Amino acid sequence: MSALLSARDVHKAFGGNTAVDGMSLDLHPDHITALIGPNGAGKTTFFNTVTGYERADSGSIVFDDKELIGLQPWRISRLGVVRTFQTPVGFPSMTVWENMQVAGASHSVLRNMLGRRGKNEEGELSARTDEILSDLGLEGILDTPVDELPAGERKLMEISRQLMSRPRLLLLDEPAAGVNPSSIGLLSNLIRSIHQSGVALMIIDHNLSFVLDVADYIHVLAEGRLIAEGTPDEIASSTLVRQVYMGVDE
Amino acid sequence: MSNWSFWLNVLTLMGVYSALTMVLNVEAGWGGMWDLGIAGLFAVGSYTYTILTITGFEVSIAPGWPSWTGILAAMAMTGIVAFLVGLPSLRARREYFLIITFAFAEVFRQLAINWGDITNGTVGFNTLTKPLSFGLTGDDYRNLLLGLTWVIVILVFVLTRRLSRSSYGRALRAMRDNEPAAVSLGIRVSRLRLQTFVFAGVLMGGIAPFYLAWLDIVQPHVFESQLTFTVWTALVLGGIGSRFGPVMGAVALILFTELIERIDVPLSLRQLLVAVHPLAIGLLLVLLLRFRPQGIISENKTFGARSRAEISILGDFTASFSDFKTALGRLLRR
Repeated sequence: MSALLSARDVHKAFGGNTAVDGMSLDLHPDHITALIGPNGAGKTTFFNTVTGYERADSGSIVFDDKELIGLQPWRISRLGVVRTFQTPVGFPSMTVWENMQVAGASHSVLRNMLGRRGKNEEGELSARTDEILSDLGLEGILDTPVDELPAGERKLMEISRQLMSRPRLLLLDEPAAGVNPSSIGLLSNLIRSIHQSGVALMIIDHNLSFVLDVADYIHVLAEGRLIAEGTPDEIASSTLVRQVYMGVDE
Repeated sequence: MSNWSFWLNVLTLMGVYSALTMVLNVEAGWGGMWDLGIAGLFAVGSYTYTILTITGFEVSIAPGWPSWTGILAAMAMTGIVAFLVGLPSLRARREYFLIITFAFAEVFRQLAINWGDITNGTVGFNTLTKPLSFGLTGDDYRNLLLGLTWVIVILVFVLTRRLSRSSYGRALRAMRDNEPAAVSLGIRVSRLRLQTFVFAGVLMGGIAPFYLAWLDIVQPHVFESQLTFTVWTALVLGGIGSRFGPVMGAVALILFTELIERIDVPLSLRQLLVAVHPLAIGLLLVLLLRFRPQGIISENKTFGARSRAEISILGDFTASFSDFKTALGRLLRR
């Protein structure tokens, strides 16, 4: 089983604060992988170094035989490594439909001006939007401006929007945060169906029960270092993890 | 001044400002690039056109080209200068970008003053070669110029409307709304910004000759920051980010200011009227921001549900305008 993404000895410090301290991990596409850890453990910083939003100080992150460190974020996104954000504001002045149409089309002023972009491309984008949103039962909100959506729907919208760019690896930064507890089940189903459609997944979240439910393999991070990894059962029963992550002294 | 010649002047000026405001709307309204360097790029286009087409002046370059090649050269030169200005300044955002573009505009004006060999200094040029005159002169040409100006307005409108509904337009607004999220979808922000800045520059360069034909003079003081602020005021008035707003804003603003100029006052109060002019525009802006901060036509009404459908320009207009009518009604009933 070969890894789709492998990080080796990744370091990232901000001034004197080391956020990621020599992290190495392999991500296998047939697992839903999760990265957990207490606040400030370096989870989001790790996401940022993978997606190019922060440049790692040292180490190597290889995706599909390509080194990602040093590439611009838009380039990494076009390679198929796409992320979401902790607070999904989306593009607030635009409707859900417009948000969905941003990805996957030409942004050249000349091509758009001359109309070289045939009706096919436009039609294909539209069809894909309908397909993704109806899978989620969100057809009804196509014309709603994103800043009028409740937080939970906005989160689902953001995940679907990132799917429009046809990612090969999707990094979800706290997908369950701010989601109504009754919608968590819907979210888990969505994540499973994305994975079944062939997209590799990595999730950061604070909601441990959600992570234990949805993930197949979990890495535990504390103070910038990986302290444990394993299946949800192994992680749930590990005393070290309970001490560091849940603050349980035994 | 006869009535028709007054309206001829006003309508032509409205056209020039409408076109400029629509161009600013692309970069500032949709692209979120707060450009205060309009007068500078406009000066580049104006001087390029004038120097290449003028005859009968003693400056070091004066090839005396026909006007249409002058227009094309002005567009190309403004585009090139926009590219060179954009490379360093587009790395900055918002107010930092604004300050840099403002400074560049002032640099170009000072260049126009001090590079006398080419620009004829503060004296500048008069008796310009009229763009696309087809041999007409005097009043006949002024009638033609009115038509030409509004043909340009229509061209720029059709072009920007088309772009606003395209994936380029969506990428622009996405970048303005949330740059990190736009980047995460593979949008190459630096290229998109530069492309937009150059595109706006090229259009400004093409509009400039027609403004000069209206003005019939090129001097450095024409390109003071007031030109930039007039375009910005028109944009804020009409509605930043809307499709019809820029034209509405420019028409309303020029009408307002030209009518103030026309108020009949004794000669002794003439100075006072000139001083009231900026005051009145300021008051107009304050009232607007109090009662209708989104401008005459709002961006929401411009896009929204209609982004999905094929819609005629007329339908687009009535729908865009609908909430202004309700807002106006509500205000009047108070």
